[in-house]
Amino acid sequence: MKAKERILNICTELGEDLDSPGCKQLRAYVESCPDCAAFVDSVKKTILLYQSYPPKQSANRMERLFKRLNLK
Amino acid sequence: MAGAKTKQQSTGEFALVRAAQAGDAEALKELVQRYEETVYNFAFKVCRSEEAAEDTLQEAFLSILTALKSFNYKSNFSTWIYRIVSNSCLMKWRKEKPERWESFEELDHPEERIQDSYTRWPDSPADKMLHRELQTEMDKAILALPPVYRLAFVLKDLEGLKIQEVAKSLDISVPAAKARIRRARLFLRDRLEPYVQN
Repeated sequence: MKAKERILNICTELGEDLDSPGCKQLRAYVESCPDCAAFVDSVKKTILLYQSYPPKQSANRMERLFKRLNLK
Repeated sequence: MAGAKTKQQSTGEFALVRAAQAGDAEALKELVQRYEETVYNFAFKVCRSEEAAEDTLQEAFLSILTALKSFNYKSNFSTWIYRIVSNSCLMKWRKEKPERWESFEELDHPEERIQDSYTRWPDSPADKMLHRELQTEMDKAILALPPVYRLAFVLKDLEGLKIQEVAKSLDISVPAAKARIRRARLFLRDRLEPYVQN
Protein backbone atom coordinates (compact mmCIF):
# COMPACT_ATOMS: atom_id res chain seq x y z
CA MET A 1 0.00 0.00 0.00
CA LYS A 2 1.25 3.47 -0.85
CA ALA A 3 2.23 5.81 1.97
CA LYS A 4 -0.46 8.28 1.02
CA GLU A 5 -3.12 5.60 1.06
CA ARG A 6 -1.98 4.52 4.51
CA ILE A 7 -2.35 8.03 5.81
CA LEU A 8 -5.71 8.46 4.14
CA ASN A 9 -7.01 5.14 5.39
CA ILE A 10 -5.64 5.23 8.91
CA CYS A 11 -5.56 8.88 9.86
CA THR A 12 -8.71 10.21 8.30
CA GLU A 13 -10.58 6.91 8.79
CA LEU A 14 -10.33 7.59 12.49
CA GLY A 15 -12.89 10.31 11.89
CA GLU A 16 -11.63 11.88 15.06
CA ASP A 17 -9.21 14.67 15.75
CA LEU A 18 -6.25 14.63 13.46
CA ASP A 19 -4.17 14.97 16.63
CA SER A 20 -5.64 11.77 18.07
CA PRO A 21 -3.26 9.04 19.36
CA GLY A 22 -3.66 7.03 16.16
CA CYS A 23 -2.55 9.97 14.06
CA LYS A 24 0.27 10.83 16.43
CA GLN A 25 1.69 7.33 16.02
CA LEU A 26 2.02 8.04 12.36
CA ARG A 27 3.74 11.36 12.85
CA ALA A 28 7.28 10.03 12.77
CA TYR A 29 6.48 8.18 9.60
CA VAL A 30 4.72 11.18 8.08
CA GLU A 31 7.68 13.43 8.79
CA SER A 32 9.80 11.23 6.61
CA CYS A 33 7.25 11.51 3.79
CA PRO A 34 6.77 15.10 2.53
CA ASP A 35 3.71 14.20 0.47
CA CYS A 36 2.01 12.61 3.47
CA ALA A 37 2.81 15.58 5.69
CA ALA A 38 1.46 18.00 3.08
CA PHE A 39 -1.71 15.96 2.72
CA VAL A 40 -2.46 15.72 6.46
CA ASP A 41 -1.55 19.40 6.91
CA SER A 42 -3.96 20.41 4.15
CA VAL A 43 -6.82 18.47 5.75
CA LYS A 44 -6.12 20.21 9.07
CA LYS A 45 -6.05 23.59 7.34
CA THR A 46 -9.32 22.84 5.56
CA ILE A 47 -10.95 22.38 8.96
CA LEU A 48 -9.21 25.49 10.29
CA LEU A 49 -10.56 27.57 7.41
CA TYR A 50 -14.13 26.56 8.18
CA GLN A 51 -13.57 27.15 11.89
CA SER A 52 -12.31 30.67 11.07
CA TYR A 53 -15.42 31.56 9.07
CA PRO A 54 -17.72 33.39 11.52
CA PRO A 55 -21.49 32.94 11.14
CA LYS A 56 -23.16 36.12 9.86
CA GLN A 57 -25.55 37.45 12.48
CA SER A 58 -28.95 39.05 11.86
CA ALA A 59 -30.43 41.81 14.01
CA ASN A 60 -33.47 41.29 16.28
CA ARG A 61 -33.39 37.56 15.68
CA MET A 62 -34.38 36.65 19.24
CA GLU A 63 -37.39 38.94 19.04
CA ARG A 64 -38.63 37.20 15.89
CA LEU A 65 -38.02 33.78 17.43
CA PHE A 66 -39.99 34.62 20.56
CA LYS A 67 -42.84 35.89 18.40
CA ARG A 68 -42.85 32.69 16.32
CA LEU A 69 -42.86 30.58 19.48
CA ASN A 70 -45.57 32.70 21.10
CA LEU A 71 -43.30 33.50 24.04
CA LYS A 72 -43.52 36.90 25.70
CA MET B 1 -22.11 24.33 23.67
CA ALA B 2 -19.29 22.49 21.93
CA GLY B 3 -18.32 19.14 23.39
CA ALA B 4 -19.45 17.38 26.54
CA LYS B 5 -20.67 19.33 29.55
CA THR B 6 -19.47 18.81 33.11
CA LYS B 7 -21.73 16.97 35.56
CA GLN B 8 -22.43 20.24 37.40
CA GLN B 9 -23.44 22.01 34.18
CA SER B 10 -25.73 19.13 33.27
CA THR B 11 -27.34 19.10 36.73
CA GLY B 12 -28.20 22.82 36.56
CA GLU B 13 -29.44 22.46 33.03
CA PHE B 14 -31.55 19.42 33.86
CA ALA B 15 -33.26 21.41 36.63
CA LEU B 16 -34.13 24.07 34.08
CA VAL B 17 -35.43 21.46 31.64
CA ARG B 18 -37.55 19.84 34.39
CA ALA B 19 -39.09 23.22 35.21
CA ALA B 20 -39.80 23.89 31.53
CA GLN B 21 -41.33 20.44 31.12
CA ALA B 22 -43.57 21.19 34.12
CA GLY B 23 -44.89 24.30 32.38
CA ASP B 24 -42.70 27.03 33.90
CA ALA B 25 -42.79 29.74 31.21
CA GLU B 26 -39.75 31.56 32.59
CA ALA B 27 -37.68 28.38 32.52
CA LEU B 28 -38.77 27.76 28.95
CA LYS B 29 -37.77 31.29 27.93
CA GLU B 30 -34.41 30.86 29.59
CA LEU B 31 -33.81 27.59 27.74
CA VAL B 32 -34.65 29.29 24.43
CA GLN B 33 -32.37 32.24 25.23
CA ARG B 34 -29.57 29.93 26.32
CA TYR B 35 -29.61 27.87 23.13
CA GLU B 36 -30.72 30.42 20.53
CA GLU B 37 -27.23 31.48 19.50
CA THR B 38 -25.91 27.92 19.46
CA VAL B 39 -28.75 26.69 17.27
CA TYR B 40 -28.49 29.68 14.93
CA ASN B 41 -24.70 29.38 14.57
CA PHE B 42 -24.99 25.64 13.92
CA ALA B 43 -27.72 26.29 11.35
CA PHE B 44 -25.62 28.97 9.65
CA LYS B 45 -22.60 26.67 9.40
CA VAL B 46 -24.80 24.09 7.71
CA CYS B 47 -27.03 26.36 5.57
CA ARG B 48 -24.48 29.14 4.76
CA SER B 49 -27.01 31.98 4.63
CA GLU B 50 -28.60 34.20 7.28
CA GLU B 51 -32.09 33.72 5.89
CA ALA B 52 -31.88 29.92 5.73
CA ALA B 53 -30.22 29.77 9.14
CA GLU B 54 -32.97 31.84 10.76
CA ASP B 55 -35.65 29.77 9.07
CA THR B 56 -33.97 26.61 10.39
CA LEU B 57 -33.63 28.21 13.84
CA GLN B 58 -37.35 28.84 14.06
CA GLU B 59 -38.36 25.44 12.71
CA ALA B 60 -35.90 23.73 15.02
CA PHE B 61 -37.19 25.51 18.12
CA LEU B 62 -40.77 24.66 17.21
CA SER B 63 -39.66 21.01 17.10
CA ILE B 64 -37.69 21.39 20.35
CA LEU B 65 -40.69 22.80 22.20
CA THR B 66 -42.97 20.10 20.79
CA ALA B 67 -40.56 17.32 21.78
CA LEU B 68 -39.38 18.78 25.09
CA LYS B 69 -41.53 16.47 27.21
CA SER B 70 -39.92 13.45 25.56
CA PHE B 71 -36.42 14.41 26.75
CA ASN B 72 -35.48 11.57 29.13
CA TYR B 73 -32.18 12.79 30.66
CA LYS B 74 -30.22 9.87 29.19
CA SER B 75 -28.00 12.22 27.20
CA ASN B 76 -26.74 15.78 27.56
CA PHE B 77 -29.49 18.24 26.74
CA SER B 78 -27.13 19.82 24.22
CA THR B 79 -26.70 16.50 22.37
CA TRP B 80 -30.48 16.12 22.31
CA ILE B 81 -30.80 19.66 20.90
CA TYR B 82 -28.28 18.87 18.15
CA ARG B 83 -30.28 15.76 17.32
CA ILE B 84 -33.53 17.71 17.00
CA VAL B 85 -31.90 20.45 14.90
CA SER B 86 -30.17 17.90 12.65
CA ASN B 87 -33.47 16.08 12.11
CA SER B 88 -35.16 19.38 11.36
CA CYS B 89 -32.51 20.17 8.73
CA LEU B 90 -32.71 16.70 7.22
CA MET B 91 -36.50 16.74 6.93
CA LYS B 92 -36.36 20.14 5.24
CA TRP B 93 -33.74 19.01 2.73
CA ARG B 94 -35.52 15.73 2.05
CA LYS B 95 -38.52 17.73 0.90
CA GLU B 96 -36.50 20.23 -1.12
CA LYS B 97 -33.87 18.06 -2.84
CA PRO B 98 -34.65 14.36 -2.50
CA GLU B 99 -32.26 13.47 -5.34
CA ARG B 100 -29.26 14.64 -3.32
CA TRP B 101 -30.20 12.69 -0.24
CA GLU B 102 -27.65 9.97 0.58
CA SER B 103 -25.45 8.86 -2.28
CA PHE B 104 -22.93 11.08 -3.97
CA GLU B 105 -20.58 9.43 -6.39
CA GLU B 106 -17.78 11.89 -5.79
CA LEU B 107 -17.72 10.91 -2.13
CA ASP B 108 -18.13 7.16 -2.44
CA HIS B 109 -14.60 6.24 -3.46
CA PRO B 110 -12.22 8.92 -2.17
CA GLU B 111 -9.22 6.61 -2.50
CA GLU B 112 -9.61 6.82 -6.28
CA ARG B 113 -8.86 10.52 -6.09
CA ILE B 114 -5.49 10.17 -4.41
CA GLN B 115 -3.04 12.45 -6.16
CA ASP B 116 0.48 11.52 -7.18
CA SER B 117 1.91 14.32 -5.07
CA TYR B 118 0.76 16.98 -2.63
CA THR B 119 1.96 20.56 -2.31
CA ARG B 120 2.07 22.08 1.14
CA TRP B 121 -0.62 24.70 1.76
CA PRO B 122 0.37 28.21 2.97
CA ASP B 123 0.99 28.40 6.71
CA SER B 124 -1.80 30.85 7.50
CA PRO B 125 -4.73 29.86 5.31
CA ALA B 126 -7.08 31.73 7.65
CA ASP B 127 -5.49 34.98 6.38
CA LYS B 128 -7.04 34.15 3.06
CA MET B 129 -10.45 34.44 4.68
CA LEU B 130 -10.10 38.12 3.93
CA HIS B 131 -10.57 37.24 0.29
CA ARG B 132 -14.22 37.17 -0.61
CA GLU B 133 -13.57 34.65 -3.36
CA LEU B 134 -12.36 32.03 -0.90
CA GLN B 135 -15.40 32.50 1.35
CA THR B 136 -17.66 32.06 -1.67
CA GLU B 137 -15.86 28.87 -2.64
CA MET B 138 -16.04 27.57 0.93
CA ASP B 139 -19.80 28.11 0.89
CA LYS B 140 -20.14 26.43 -2.50
CA ALA B 141 -18.01 23.48 -1.43
CA ILE B 142 -19.86 22.72 1.78
CA LEU B 143 -23.25 23.23 0.11
CA ALA B 144 -22.21 20.71 -2.54
CA LEU B 145 -21.95 18.05 0.17
CA PRO B 146 -25.08 15.93 0.69
CA PRO B 147 -26.73 16.89 3.99
CA VAL B 148 -25.75 13.75 5.87
CA TYR B 149 -22.05 14.41 5.21
CA ARG B 150 -22.35 18.12 5.84
CA LEU B 151 -24.01 17.62 9.21
CA ALA B 152 -21.39 15.10 10.31
CA PHE B 153 -18.55 17.47 9.37
CA VAL B 154 -20.13 20.49 11.07
CA LEU B 155 -20.99 18.59 14.25
CA LYS B 156 -17.52 17.09 14.61
CA ASP B 157 -15.11 19.64 13.22
CA LEU B 158 -16.94 22.93 13.75
CA GLU B 159 -19.11 22.29 16.81
CA GLY B 160 -16.52 20.09 18.51
CA LEU B 161 -18.74 17.16 19.42
CA LYS B 162 -17.19 13.81 20.27
CA ILE B 163 -17.59 11.14 17.62
CA GLN B 164 -20.08 9.26 19.83
CA GLU B 165 -22.17 12.43 20.16
CA VAL B 166 -22.07 12.97 16.39
CA ALA B 167 -23.31 9.41 15.86
CA LYS B 168 -26.07 9.89 18.45
CA SER B 169 -27.12 13.26 17.01
CA LEU B 170 -27.46 11.76 13.53
CA ASP B 171 -28.86 8.44 14.74
CA ILE B 172 -26.14 6.47 12.97
CA SER B 173 -23.36 4.11 14.09
CA VAL B 174 -19.95 5.41 15.12
CA PRO B 175 -18.25 3.79 12.08
CA ALA B 176 -20.82 5.43 9.78
CA ALA B 177 -20.20 8.81 11.42
CA LYS B 178 -16.44 8.39 11.00
CA ALA B 179 -16.83 7.48 7.34
CA ARG B 180 -18.99 10.53 6.66
CA ILE B 181 -16.57 12.88 8.41
CA ARG B 182 -13.63 11.41 6.55
CA ARG B 183 -15.31 11.74 3.15
CA ALA B 184 -16.53 15.25 3.85
CA ARG B 185 -13.06 16.40 4.94
CA LEU B 186 -11.43 15.01 1.81
CA PHE B 187 -14.11 16.41 -0.47
CA LEU B 188 -13.79 19.91 1.03
CA ARG B 189 -10.00 19.75 0.98
CA ASP B 190 -9.98 18.91 -2.73
CA ARG B 191 -12.51 21.61 -3.55
CA LEU B 192 -10.61 24.35 -1.72
CA GLU B 193 -7.10 23.46 -2.81
CA PRO B 194 -6.98 25.57 -5.99
CA TYR B 195 -8.19 28.66 -4.11
CA VAL B 196 -5.87 28.26 -1.15
CA GLN B 197 -2.82 27.60 -3.31
CA ASN B 198 -3.43 30.69 -5.43
